[in-house]
Amino acid sequence: MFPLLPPELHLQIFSHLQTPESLHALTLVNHATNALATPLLYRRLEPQQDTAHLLVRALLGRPELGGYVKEVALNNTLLSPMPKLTGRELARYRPERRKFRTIWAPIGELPFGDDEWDMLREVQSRFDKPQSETAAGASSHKPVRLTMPWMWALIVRTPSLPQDVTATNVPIAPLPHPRAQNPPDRLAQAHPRAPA
Amino acid sequence: MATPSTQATVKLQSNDNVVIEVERAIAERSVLIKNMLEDCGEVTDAIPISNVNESILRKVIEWCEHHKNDPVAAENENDDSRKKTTDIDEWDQKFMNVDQEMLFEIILAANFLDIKPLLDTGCKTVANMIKGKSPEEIRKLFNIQNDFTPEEEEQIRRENEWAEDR
Repeated sequence: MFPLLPPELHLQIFSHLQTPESLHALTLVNHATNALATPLLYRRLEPQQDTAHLLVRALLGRPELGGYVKEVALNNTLLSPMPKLTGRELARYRPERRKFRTIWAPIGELPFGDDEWDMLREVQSRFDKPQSETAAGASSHKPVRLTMPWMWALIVRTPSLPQDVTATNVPIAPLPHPRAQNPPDRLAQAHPRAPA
Repeated sequence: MATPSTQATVKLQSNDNVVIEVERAIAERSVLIKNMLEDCGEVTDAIPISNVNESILRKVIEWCEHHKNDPVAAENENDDSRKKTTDIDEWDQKFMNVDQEMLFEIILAANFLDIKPLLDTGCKTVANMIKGKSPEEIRKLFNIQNDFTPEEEEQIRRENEWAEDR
């Protein structure tokens, strides 16, 4: 970008830019700035109500983006009430981690394409299991049921999130490509797609 | 404080062969020079600063002079915990109000001489120039060629649409 400076100094400059808007602009300047700014753009995610579906679409569309994510903050934006925690669960979670347990509010029709929907169904099928199946490994805490597909998608696509953030014993393996064989009915009903 | 320094001043030689004498305490804002002096003890010859020309070296010394009494920052190299902001104090803002080429030269010199706070200030200054600009404005500002095809550009725009300023 600046021919005089080596790439590690470019990176140092860009790392002072905190807002997604500035980093977003840098991803579009040229190939070199894109390569440096993209990991920074996805490093700390703060999903907003009106753009969360776009963020999830990006993570679904290019799995390596999830690898850049180090932090996801769900502050005041996508909140609905937290599930009730037992004393032990409360002790286990640090306050900032508990934010991850926020259930994302339903956001109406999600403007996803077919592939994206298939991917979400696949993700859901992995999480949406009876508790008896998923709690096998650890007896001290219950798996948390995450009720919105966004959240699953985000977590599944975010391998670097600390283990306890996922708060569940469902094994998270890399997903195969998006063709879900048996999409769960519940999700299909919850988000019916308008006939084409 | 440490035992009184045996040497009150040191000589620095720019790559265009100008020798500048500075207070040792000021020169030691540069970790590179500080380590060199510690390793070598007495240095009476001019220390060659091979990557930096006279005007930039004088500029860097000016900064070190102004900041000579700053507390030395904790040696915390952990980038995650170091707070990244783009706040720059007023004197530094004026100091950095130079043309682009000189700004980049100062950053390079600070990197070479290992003067972390100066390097940070320089990087923040450039970051502030980028802030709030569109990709096209950034290209213009730094004279960068757009090497994307329209298709590539559209794909990136779609992928990162969530982060668009709206």
